[in-house]
Amino acid sequence: MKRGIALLLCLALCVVAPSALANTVTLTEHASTFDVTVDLPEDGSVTVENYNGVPYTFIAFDDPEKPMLYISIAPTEEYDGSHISTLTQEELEMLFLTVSADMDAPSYSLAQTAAGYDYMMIEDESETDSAILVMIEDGFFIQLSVWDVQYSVLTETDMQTATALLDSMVIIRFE
Amino acid sequence: MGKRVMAILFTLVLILGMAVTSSALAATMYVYTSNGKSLNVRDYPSKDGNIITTLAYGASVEVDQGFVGGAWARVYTSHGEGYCMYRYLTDSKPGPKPKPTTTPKPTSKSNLYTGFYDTYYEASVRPSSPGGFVHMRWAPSKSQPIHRDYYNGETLIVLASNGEWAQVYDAANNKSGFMMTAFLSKNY
Repeated sequence: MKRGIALLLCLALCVVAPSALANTVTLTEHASTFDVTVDLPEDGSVTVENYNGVPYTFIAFDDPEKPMLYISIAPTEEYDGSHISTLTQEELEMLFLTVSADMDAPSYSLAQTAAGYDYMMIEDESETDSAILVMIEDGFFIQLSVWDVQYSVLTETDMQTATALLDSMVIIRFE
Repeated sequence: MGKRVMAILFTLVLILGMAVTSSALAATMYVYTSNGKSLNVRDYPSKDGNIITTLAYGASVEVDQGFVGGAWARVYTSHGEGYCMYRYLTDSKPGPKPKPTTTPKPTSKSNLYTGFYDTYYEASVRPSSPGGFVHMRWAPSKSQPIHRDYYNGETLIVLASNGEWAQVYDAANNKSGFMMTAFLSKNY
């Protein structure tokens, strides 16, 4: 009986532990009015590189089958005071054309994260596949870019990795 | 008397020298935003800076070339000195305000390499979105495989161009390939 309970407890821990081991990573941008946190899966690691004042948080996974990702938070004057949900259809088209300018066969859709943040998902349907998920908050572009390490076509699983990361995102506003 | 004249002459030369120097360091640039919006000029080189004025799309502005502010440029406006984001300034006057167009530009594989001319200058990578990246490709076409990605402000040498595409060399990593000129900003 006791052995049975012990085994059940072990099994329960094995199920719960992986998600419990997810780390919350805080992405900061100096001189902004908010911080952003995302939950990093257990097998993910983070490196931050700064390009021209913009922090790029690269996320890599131990599993080589998983995609490459980065999240950047960059100031924008073009969309200062705007939000994805407040853009007109023409403005959405312009945003899509601007962000996808380097893509071969792009298309976009609008979606919301699990926490209710609006974003634009831009996907390149060409053989050199990549996807960009863009949010606009308080005059900043929050961009999650995802691509295969060989730049081959992204799978449904790859996109689920990206959207899961975005779903875990929380925007913490400073008072 | 002689000393006084010399002092006055020296002062005049100094003032003239400063005027020449400051005008040599200022350059005329133009506002370009991908959505045609006006550009904010702030009192501090940061999004936290207060907006002191705005510059309309296509407007010219004097930019202090001697100011090293990363993503920010010091500009001189009718409202005085201010700061705006460098990525929204361009050397040449832009065309009409951009409008969304979905007409694709077909690329014929047979003429990928035509129209190129030799050139040589250093350029900074300027992604279309402020936190984006730019592909360096193996050939001058968006349908061609990607060689490497580059981020905001990375430096490349432009070796040749056909106006739309540039043949570039990355000296830091010994890589070469092709990148769209729209994503390259010439360094001075």
